[in-house]
Amino acid sequence: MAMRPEDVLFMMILFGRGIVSSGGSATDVEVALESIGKKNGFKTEVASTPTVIHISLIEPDGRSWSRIERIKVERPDFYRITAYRNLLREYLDDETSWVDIVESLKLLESTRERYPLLLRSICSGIAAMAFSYVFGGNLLESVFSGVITAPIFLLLSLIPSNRMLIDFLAGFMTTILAVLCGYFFDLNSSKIIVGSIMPYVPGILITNSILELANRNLVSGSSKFTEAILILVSLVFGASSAFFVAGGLV
Amino acid sequence: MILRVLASLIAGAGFAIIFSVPAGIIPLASCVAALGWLVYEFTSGLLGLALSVFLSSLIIGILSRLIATLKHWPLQPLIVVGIVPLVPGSSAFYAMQSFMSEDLFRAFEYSYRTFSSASGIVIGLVASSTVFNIIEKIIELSNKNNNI
Repeated sequence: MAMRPEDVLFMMILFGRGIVSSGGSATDVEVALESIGKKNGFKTEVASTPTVIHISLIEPDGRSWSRIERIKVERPDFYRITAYRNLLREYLDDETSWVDIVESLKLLESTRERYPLLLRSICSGIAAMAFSYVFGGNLLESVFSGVITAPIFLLLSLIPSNRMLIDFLAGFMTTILAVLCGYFFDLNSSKIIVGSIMPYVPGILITNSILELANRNLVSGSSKFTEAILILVSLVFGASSAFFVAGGLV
Repeated sequence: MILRVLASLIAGAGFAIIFSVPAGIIPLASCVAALGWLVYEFTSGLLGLALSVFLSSLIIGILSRLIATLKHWPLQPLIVVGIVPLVPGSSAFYAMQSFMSEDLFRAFEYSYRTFSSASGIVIGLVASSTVFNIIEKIIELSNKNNNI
């Protein structure tokens, strides 16, 4: 049985919203949604940005159906992106009915974090320790970097606040603790800081934004680049404030 | 150098868990990250920053696509975890810090490093897609010739 245009549009919105809010690129969303439209015999126009998706379905006789959806941006979640990709493949290969797919999509949207917060905090510490070492820190500086990062990551994940304030606090707390460690244990505090801020620095966002600009997704690419700059400004503002405060302390 | 490569493997695994990469993908994705850093370590002295990052991300891209095709895994987690040690996070941070402390010379130096690394990664990943398609076509053609 052929799907009605409004049903196709509903399924597209569930896919698009899920992929974008999980950190998928505009190109991924557009390819996924166009393939759903093509399977159902519609010409599809998709414009995806990190915060808004606009979908238009055009029937063979020229009538069109359109929807705009505001997206709440969350942090990257590759478990969900993988699950969305598998569901899309199942749908395109006719392995599951669209009703089941829609149910699975709704369920996936309400899925909680794949790994517990404590494990993610410990891993952020381990990653910070490894980064500090990769970027030239000695063993003790790397260990301090990890020890500082894990509790800060845990604490900041529990605070319900906006991203800029979280990044400001991350920069501030990391720098103040790193400077104190450097002062009391005679270590290079910048080697501690460089590892500890890595879980917050938007390196992947910068790379993705340039990748999207290269794919001519100019709106998505430039908005991601702007977001990355804002995150960096917050982090650095926090770190600079901490240097000012720590200068008075040590 | 071996310790730094090992550290990049651990960093990749740590980031994979922060970004909720499915558990089955993490070991191979971390190995891709370590291999990418190994290539960077070998080539950075000879080729300079941008070219060595380009070469590393080209290899990361080809390897990730190969693993994704063979294992039927999504490509994005493999590539993102693979390039994590190469992404210019620290230089972007230092660039912004230098701008805010009005040290413009250092700020432009770090901005240049950030832009070079990010561009090297992007061009490397885009090139890897083309190289992988060519390899696939060659394998397809040679299979056809063998069947004839």
